[in-house]
Amino acid sequence: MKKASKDLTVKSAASPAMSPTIYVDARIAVGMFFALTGTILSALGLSTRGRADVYAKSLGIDANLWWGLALLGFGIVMLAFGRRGQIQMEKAKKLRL
Amino acid sequence: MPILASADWLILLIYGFFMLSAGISLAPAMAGSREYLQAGRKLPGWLSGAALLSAGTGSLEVLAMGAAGARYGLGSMSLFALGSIPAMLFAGLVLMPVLYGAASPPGAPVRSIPEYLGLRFDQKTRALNAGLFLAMALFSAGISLYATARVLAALHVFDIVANGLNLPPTGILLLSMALPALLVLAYVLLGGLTAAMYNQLLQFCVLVAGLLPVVLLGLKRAGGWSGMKAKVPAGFLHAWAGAGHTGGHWDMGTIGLVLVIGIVIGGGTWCTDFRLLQTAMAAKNVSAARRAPLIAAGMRVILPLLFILPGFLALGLPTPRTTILIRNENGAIYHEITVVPPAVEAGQGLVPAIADPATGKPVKGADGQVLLDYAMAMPNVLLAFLPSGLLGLGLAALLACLMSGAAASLTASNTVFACDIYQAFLKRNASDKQILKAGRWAAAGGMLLAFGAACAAMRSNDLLDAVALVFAMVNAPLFAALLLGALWKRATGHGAFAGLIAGLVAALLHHGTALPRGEQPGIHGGWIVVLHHPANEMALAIGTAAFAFVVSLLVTASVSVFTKARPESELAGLVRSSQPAIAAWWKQPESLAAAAILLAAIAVNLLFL
Repeated sequence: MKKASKDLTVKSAASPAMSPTIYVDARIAVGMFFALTGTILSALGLSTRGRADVYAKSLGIDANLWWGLALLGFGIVMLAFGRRGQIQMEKAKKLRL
Repeated sequence: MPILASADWLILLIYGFFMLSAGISLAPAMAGSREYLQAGRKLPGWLSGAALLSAGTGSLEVLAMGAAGARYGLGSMSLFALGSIPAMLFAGLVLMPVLYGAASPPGAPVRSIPEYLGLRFDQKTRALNAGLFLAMALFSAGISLYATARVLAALHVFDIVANGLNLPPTGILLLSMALPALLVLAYVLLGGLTAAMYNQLLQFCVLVAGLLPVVLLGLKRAGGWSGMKAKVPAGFLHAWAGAGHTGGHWDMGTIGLVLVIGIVIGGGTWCTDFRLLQTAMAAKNVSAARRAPLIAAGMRVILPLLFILPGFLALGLPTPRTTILIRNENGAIYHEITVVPPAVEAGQGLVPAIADPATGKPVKGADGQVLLDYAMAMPNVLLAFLPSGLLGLGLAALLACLMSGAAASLTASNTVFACDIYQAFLKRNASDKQILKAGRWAAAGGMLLAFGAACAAMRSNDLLDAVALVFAMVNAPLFAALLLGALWKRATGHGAFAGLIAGLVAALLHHGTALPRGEQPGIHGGWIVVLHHPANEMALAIGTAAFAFVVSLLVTASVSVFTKARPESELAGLVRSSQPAIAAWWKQPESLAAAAILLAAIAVNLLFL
């Protein structure tokens, strides 16, 4: 039993395909980006709310606030999916080792 | 005039930081050439699909779609759908199992299209295609770098940086090319194909996030969907208006045009171009690789709406004019003068005229009409609708196009160089570490060459028009060779080699003998002897590609019949008929999904008919 596990570690060190490095689920990065930009945009939207000169272009709609909130929501959803994917990926990794 | 506020800059910088950090965080995982060049072949299908779509939606396509929206109307959406969706479905259902699964020695999967050609045909076909591909990929990467830099310079994005450094106007253009190019090079060198694909996913999301508000605001301003339809002159919404010579009727000519666009342009891009296919070939297994083009096709159904609508809206908005506003306030008289460059004033809606670089005056065509710079339609609509803050995101979306296309060219050409030039011909017994190193050097050298091409394009604007010719010379014949190689076991190496060369020559001959009406002989065609006049540049480009494809198909087939075929035992896994049997088509989820996507595409396009 002990010997078998030792063999496995040697093998995993030798073949690059089994390297211990783990990819981060791509959705986590996307989620972080949109959660951050969404927060910034909605904060900007709140602070400039009601200023006609800023929002003349966007037909008087506080586009920063509403679109910022939408992006924040999208970011949180992506983070949730990414976390789930990451946990599954690490579980699969543990099973293989 | 400063266009960008600090909020816009903040968002642009965060975006740049995220792209770089993908490279940095993935760098430790790049243990061998397989991780670096093929993303370890363990990515899920949805990621491959999103990256595939993003790689195929480079800056030229986005600007072209916005331009087509302004020039040919909403119907051009059908053209883009036809040019991509059937080909993507074909790639997913038929080609991916052959390309992904092909393995000559077991456990050594095919890494690139030239490598597949080498296994299926012979080494000379592989070398020829590898060389042509490298030239094409780096040339078009350079051109798309330049195209987007032109937009960035026109929007004064990097003016603050350039003014700080006291750069002349050409310096701003160079800076707009160099900064994104360096960022792309950095993350490709660090994280290879994996980093490129992670960023393509992010770029795709940013593209949607940056452009969707423009579409929504534009629709609201036009009074909703019906309001927009009402404002458009009759026939402009029609699917084929302006596309062909027939002017919008379903006759033989139109149907022929549809077939040609679908088969040659779509197939030459989505079934052939390794810059796109590399993302699907990095999937973790055959079914993920088959799903990738299908997922991309599903998203592609609605994507053109996002690009074509802004360009289309640009025409309907009021043209900026030089105005002097006199106000009387508390007894004092204010003169407010808004100066608009003559080229902008001569334009239609928000689409400016093409400005003469020396005088700034609008350029006129042979018929005396002002030539419009349709590529600026999309950027100008962003400026017109987005308040500062969101504008940063919109510009990030434009930058995203530039980068996803350039990164796809770079990762594809470093794979082709490392596998099909370095390992195949320069150093046959190269170790894995040496291949990895060759790949990284190829990325650096490739970016340098692409930058050189971009600088050449800066000197002579005509190079922009050569992109379609290069496509017809390289991709259209290659599609014929791949199609016959994957589907017909009788096709031979001599046949494919002769077909590739014949296709290249045919493209040159066709381009040299046809001249669009109102053009001078030269880069626009007719440089040998003018024999016929296609309706416009688009018709010339499509005709050249179709001619090259047909010639290549015929030459490959006829030479194959007269040369000795390889025994079937050598072709195991390389031809569709030698693939392991899969379930009948109605039992495969992939073909059912493909049917659904096709129906959805038809339904969306019917909206415009």
